[in-house]
Amino acid sequence: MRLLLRQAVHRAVVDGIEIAASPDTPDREPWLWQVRVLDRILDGEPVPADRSRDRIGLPCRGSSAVLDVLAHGKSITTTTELLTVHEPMKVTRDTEEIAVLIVGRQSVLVEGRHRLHELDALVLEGDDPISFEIAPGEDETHEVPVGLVRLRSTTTKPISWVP
Amino acid sequence: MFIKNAWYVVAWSEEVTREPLARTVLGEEVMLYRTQDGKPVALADRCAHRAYPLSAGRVIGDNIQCGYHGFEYDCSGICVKVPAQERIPQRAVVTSYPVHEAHRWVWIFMGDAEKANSTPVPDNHWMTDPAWDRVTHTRLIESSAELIHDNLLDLTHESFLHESSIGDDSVFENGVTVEASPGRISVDRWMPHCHPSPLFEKATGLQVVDRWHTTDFQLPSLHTIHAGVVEPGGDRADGHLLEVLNAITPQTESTSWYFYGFCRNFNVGDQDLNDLLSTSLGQVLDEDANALALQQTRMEKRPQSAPDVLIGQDAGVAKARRLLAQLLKAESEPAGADDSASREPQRAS
Ligand code: FES
Ligand SMILES: [Fe+2]
Repeated sequence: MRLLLRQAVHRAVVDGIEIAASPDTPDREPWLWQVRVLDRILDGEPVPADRSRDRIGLPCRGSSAVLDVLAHGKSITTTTELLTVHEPMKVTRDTEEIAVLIVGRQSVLVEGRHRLHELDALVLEGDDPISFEIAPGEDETHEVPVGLVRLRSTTTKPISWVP
Repeated sequence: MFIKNAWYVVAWSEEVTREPLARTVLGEEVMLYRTQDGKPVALADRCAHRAYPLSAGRVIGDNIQCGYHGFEYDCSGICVKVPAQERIPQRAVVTSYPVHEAHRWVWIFMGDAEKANSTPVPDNHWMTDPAWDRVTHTRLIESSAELIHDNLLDLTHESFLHESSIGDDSVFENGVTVEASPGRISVDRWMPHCHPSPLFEKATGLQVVDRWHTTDFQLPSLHTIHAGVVEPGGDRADGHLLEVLNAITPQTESTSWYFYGFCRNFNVGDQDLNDLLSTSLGQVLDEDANALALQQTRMEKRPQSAPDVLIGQDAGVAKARRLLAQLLKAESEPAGADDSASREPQRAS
């Protein structure tokens, strides 16, 4: 399943936006993970003992924006990387993995048809698609920064996401 | 609670005549009629005098006369005649609602009338476009509008509820691309190399096709399903195309109007096909209506501690619920609060 979230629909959170979370509606299922883009690092925000945190800079909005991933450490492992897209490239994921793409400055074209602009996000879940092409948007002359978060279950049970 | 600052379909054009029509929308009683030059008018269906329904009265010229004591209102809702006395009381006014008529639908705006002009009316031109043909239906569904939104945003139900007509396994076997943007949710499903569904096989003669459907929900009232089939590998634009219009208008919290137009760009003017589609799609709507009514009664009894168990295919459902809740919240905040007084026309002093 592909879920394409335009920048204007992200939920506002303190000092930033929430791109996706599981569960998406609080109190529905046990809390598992949350992907946010924060305008700045919240120094005072402690990470609870059962949670892990991944953080990378994402060039967008303010230059110090941060892609921030919190996860329930016992159940979920996360990897977070910054892609620099200057020519078409292939991204592959496992079916057991949820991938969240967030575009920094400028725009990209995913699978030749989904145009994503700054802070638009694409969440991929389930058995389709497992590999996809990502290319700079037509008018982009610079490298496009794209955050890529991968979320996996720590057990053999595949991770599923209730949007 | 309803989202009021939006256009909703209130009636088919042909339902609004020189005879008053009573209709409950968004929990409010409304009456509609046409002026002598054919303009639709929508007024609150409650006489200011002693609350008799204006829909039980008579249209006189461009005015509506209450059938109880004869107060007469013009199309802006201002009382212009009180038979029993010369003086017309200042408060003898009923709410008038902005209306917009296009392509066989009459739309109504129940919220802040000042916002009506700047709120776009969704497109439904396929209902009158001569390059397209269509069959239509109306249902009063015994469920909340929310359940119908869920139904239309998760078309995997076609595989089970409408197995004999428009559904088959191809629907749930293929994943969706959901897109959420302000005021809009789309759920797109591409079904390559599959059977076109029993009804479509009858309608097109095709047995193997590439097939697609995209529910395009323009919150909060219209789902347009852009759908079609094309010979495998063909260009979508060359296919048999459908635009299925589903206008959902809450009547009450637990009942909803469903205005349906199934438009196609092939076999235009084929009356036999119109008859086949009309009958079959009427049955499809009945299947939906029955399911929705059953769901509604069970939802009402379901404990709060047992919310829906959503799955990946429900991404559109989940996102639409969130956006609908945001719209409702935005309207209930003080600045945007509904102020029906501002909607009532002021009598010139
Ligand atoms: S109730 Fe309408 S005129 Fe008396
Ligand atoms: Fe249905």
